[in-house]
Amino acid sequence: MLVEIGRALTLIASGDVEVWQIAGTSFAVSLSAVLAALAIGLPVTYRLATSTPRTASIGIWIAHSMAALPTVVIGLTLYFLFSTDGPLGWTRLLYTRTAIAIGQTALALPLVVAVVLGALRRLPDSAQESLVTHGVTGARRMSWLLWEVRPAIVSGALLAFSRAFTELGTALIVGGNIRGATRTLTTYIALEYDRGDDARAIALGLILLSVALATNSLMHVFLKDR
Amino acid sequence: MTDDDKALVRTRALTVGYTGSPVAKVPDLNLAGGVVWHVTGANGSGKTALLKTLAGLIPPVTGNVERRCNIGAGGAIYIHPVPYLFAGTVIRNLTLADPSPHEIDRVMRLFELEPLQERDVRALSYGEQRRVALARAVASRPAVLLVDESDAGLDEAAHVSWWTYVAGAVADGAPALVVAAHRLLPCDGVPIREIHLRA
Repeated sequence: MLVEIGRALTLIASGDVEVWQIAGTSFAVSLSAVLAALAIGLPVTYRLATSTPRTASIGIWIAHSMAALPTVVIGLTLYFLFSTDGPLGWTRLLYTRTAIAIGQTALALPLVVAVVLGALRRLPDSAQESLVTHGVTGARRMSWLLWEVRPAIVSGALLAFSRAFTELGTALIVGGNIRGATRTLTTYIALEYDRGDDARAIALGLILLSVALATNSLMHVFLKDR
Repeated sequence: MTDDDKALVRTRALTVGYTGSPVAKVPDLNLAGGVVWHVTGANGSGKTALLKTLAGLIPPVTGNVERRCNIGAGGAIYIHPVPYLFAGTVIRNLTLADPSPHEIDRVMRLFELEPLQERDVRALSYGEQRRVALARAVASRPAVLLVDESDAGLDEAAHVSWWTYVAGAVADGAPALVVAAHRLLPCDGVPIREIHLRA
């Protein structure tokens, strides 16, 4: 085992082009997914936070339930949607990076909504009332309120990134692990494990672990400062 | 011109409260500019509910409120007992209702906030936060200013100083000023009308 780890570290240090290209693909796809989750999730969360308490509670329940969905279930659902005979088959997105990003957006979205909605609901009523009484409406009201919970937005985004970056089910099913196109760190690890190339699988696992730990450390440092 | 003609906010057969539960019956009011309305009553007598109803933040339980002004900038503005100041500097908070730079300069002078303008609001004392909240509201030239628990947490000197600002605000823009406060108001020369509430 130690020999394999040693070989893995040598592989990382040698700057294997393919390994780093795949890491880059994983990073780009997961980052796109998180940005999409923020673009969709923040307005939705704001709507939920400013609706009735009952609607907001239902929103939180849905977000928590969706956050617990297995990645393979999301992957399979998207596979049936995007397959040639599926309702979205005409988009020809199956086995593309976009398909993986869509799947990871579905994973990231409930995390963003749950974390940010929780923070918005913890704001005192006087925050919302101050905006109403000063006549702040529409997009301006949303931006003032969201600015108040920006630590939660950053931590939700980092949490979502960790989830997206380390997931396997969606990337494997809708990405297809195509070399030079849709191969990500997690699908590559699964492939190398199947092939029996333990050193390469461990090297990839170490990169994956480092990014996940770095993301979580960043979140910890960010929240500690606030 | 009668009080009724000049009224910016008029209430008839008003009962105020929260989520449909009545807290207090309110005598019919004709709120006009240039007057301080002093709302008194024991804790829980409905002072906050009345002010929030007049500001349009909560609906009346029964009766009606007619406004000849908006809710919000240039209309009826409510100031909380513990004001909510948004993260950032004093000057950022003064831009909340999107007033002109001229208005911001005016209220900073009026409330002596120029030395504090770049300070983080979380680092301000309670009295300073109240000044920022009042300045923020006055910057949007309210027709009716509703100040809740205006004497809460202020010592005697700060209380008098607070009322100097309030009197200045009334003289400067002549809004109808409705204040809920336990103590008598040191407002010489400013017309005061009492509204006493019983739960």
